[in-house]
Amino acid sequence: MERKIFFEKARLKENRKIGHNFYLLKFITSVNPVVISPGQFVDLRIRDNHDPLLRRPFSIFNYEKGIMSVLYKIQGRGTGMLSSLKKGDMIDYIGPLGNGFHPFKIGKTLSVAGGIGMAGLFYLQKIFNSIPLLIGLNEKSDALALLDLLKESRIQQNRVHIAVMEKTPEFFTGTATDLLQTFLKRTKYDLILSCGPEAMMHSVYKIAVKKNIATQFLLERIMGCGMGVCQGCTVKVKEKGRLNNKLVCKDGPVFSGEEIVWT
Amino acid sequence: MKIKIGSSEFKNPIFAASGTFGYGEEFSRIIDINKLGAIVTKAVTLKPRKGNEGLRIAETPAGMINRIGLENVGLDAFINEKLKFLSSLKTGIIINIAGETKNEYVALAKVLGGLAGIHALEVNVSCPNVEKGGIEFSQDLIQFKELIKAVRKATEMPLIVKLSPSAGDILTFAKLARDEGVDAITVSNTFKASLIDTKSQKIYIQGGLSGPAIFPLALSNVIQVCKNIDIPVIASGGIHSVDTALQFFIAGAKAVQIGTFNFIQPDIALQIIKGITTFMREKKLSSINQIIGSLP
Ligand SMILES: Cc1cc2nc3c(=O)[nH]c(=O)nc-3n(C[C@H](O)[C@H](O)[C@H](O)COP(=O)(O)OP(=O)(O)OC[C@H]3O[C@@H](n4cnc5c(N)ncnc54)[C@H](O)[C@@H]3O)c2cc1C
Ligand SMILES: Cc1cc2nc3c(=O)[nH]c(=O)nc-3n(C[C@H](O)[C@H](O)[C@H](O)COP(=O)(O)O)c2cc1C
Ligand code: FES
Repeated sequence: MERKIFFEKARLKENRKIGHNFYLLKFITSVNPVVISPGQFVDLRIRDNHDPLLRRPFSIFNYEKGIMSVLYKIQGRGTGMLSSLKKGDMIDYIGPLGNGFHPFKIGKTLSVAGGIGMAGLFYLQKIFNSIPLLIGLNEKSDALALLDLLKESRIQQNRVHIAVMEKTPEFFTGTATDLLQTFLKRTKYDLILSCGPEAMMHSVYKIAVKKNIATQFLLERIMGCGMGVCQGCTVKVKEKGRLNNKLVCKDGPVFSGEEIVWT
Repeated sequence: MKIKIGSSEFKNPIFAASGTFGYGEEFSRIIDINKLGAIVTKAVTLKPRKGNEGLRIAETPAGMINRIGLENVGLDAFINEKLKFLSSLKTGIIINIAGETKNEYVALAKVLGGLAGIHALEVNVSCPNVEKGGIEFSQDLIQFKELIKAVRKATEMPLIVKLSPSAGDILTFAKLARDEGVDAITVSNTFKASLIDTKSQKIYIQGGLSGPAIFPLALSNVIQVCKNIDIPVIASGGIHSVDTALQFFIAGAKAVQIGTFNFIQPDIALQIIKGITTFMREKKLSSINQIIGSLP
């Protein structure tokens, strides 16, 4: 059955900075949590006027008691303006959109996120809290702020492992993929879920292929419509030995590592 | 609010523009698409098309540039997979067709023109995104005339020609199309547009500009064409409110197509239908025809 897509104006409960680089936006929603699959996104209209014109897609970071949240980083004009919205302001969203992660057996699964890519993996973490989630961040302050946020969002912390580029005794020093290598040395996994910068995901894919581990990646593309009508968000995939286009918004945003044509 | 184009009647003159509404399925999960006057489908080509490689859309102030390259499932898959849903709707169905050669357009018109559940064909001679595609037809007057003549001969179904605003004098093309006996003209498609990436000093994107930014440009063309031509004109370009739709009607458009703004506000078409109904009630008008062309 096709799931319902909501399109409504929502009141902001909160919009605040998390650490030095991230923001958390919470809004009241009438979306029923049973219709949300981890990895799905919402398309936000940042302002009522025409600049920026297009909606901006954000992964559903969390849902709790009628409140949905997204975790974001300022990348440009749209996210900059988003960060200036205040509690009580209205924001208009369409969602949940996309399909989220493909069904899998929890068994030996591992999640790996690079930077703000982590936003796409937390809701999964909340539901299946036995999956280790490895996150690569640049700064220690972000790591500490993130741990506080997890506590507040009731996402179990003991399975979350953070790598920080900045050398500090509290955390593993290095990238998310460095941390991944240490995990793979210790345990045999059969599925890796990942979201982050494309180059990082490509590295994760190469590591996984060598060890014969299946993969699912949450991809990001600039989107026109977010719901599969404009054909603006294509990704090249291999399908039955042929190259085809798929839509990140409608067919994804999650794709298996084997089908993606890595560039 | 009923209007007629050729022999087809539409329950209202608010249409969804080609390429911005897919084949209706996605929007039907968000709004009641049966309320629309018509849905114009994404361009259908004879064979499936994969569209352009690389970046396909970019945002500009109050607009967007697209270079999709007519990606679509092709005629056979359209008929087998998409038409069933479309024909189940209680709204007008207009099929936008595109090709690389005259024969392709003719073949499309012959097949689609013979199918039940379709109310008109819209000939896209104006896509600025395909190297070998429609734009050539819309740049060469003789080729354009021959194309329209051939398509007109191929089908009796109501025929609409959608013009490019970037191919020379739009009125000249409109007159040629009228002389070939088409039932309506859509003014217009996207405006040819570019952006340069200053870091690499290369073209960032080159395609067609749409969205609120082009509204005054499109309106100016609609005013000009409506003043000089007596067949129905369908307006397209930048509609984002009841007011902008009304401006097109006042200029003389018999119907309007909402494009890019469907992405921004999926219920924009429904809001416009509601808004125009209210406008007519307040002005005590009994027919939309009392607004159409009321510009002195
Ligand atoms: C399915 C999906 C889920 C996403 N989830 C999150 C999330 O949870 N948190 C988060 O912070 N961001 C997320 N993003 C990315 C987010 O949508 C972009 O950062 C945002 O649209 C940028 O808008 P802007 O106006 O600030 O930047 P712009 O001024 O538009 O662009 C700034 C830079 O960001 C790049 N960019 C713009 N739009 C996108 C886009 N849609 N995807 C990727 N890069 C883009 C541009 O190429 C440019 O380099 C997600 C994207 C997708 C497709
Ligand atoms: C993503 C996108 C795809 C489009 N595809 C088509 C198409 O296949 N055929 C066509 O005739 N016009 C196409 N158009 C043009 C629109 O139908 C419309 O004429 C144009 O965008 C101007 O209207 P707007 O400003 O309301 O969007 C497309 C426009 C966009 C933005
Ligand atoms: S963003 Fe329009 S099809 Fe994906």
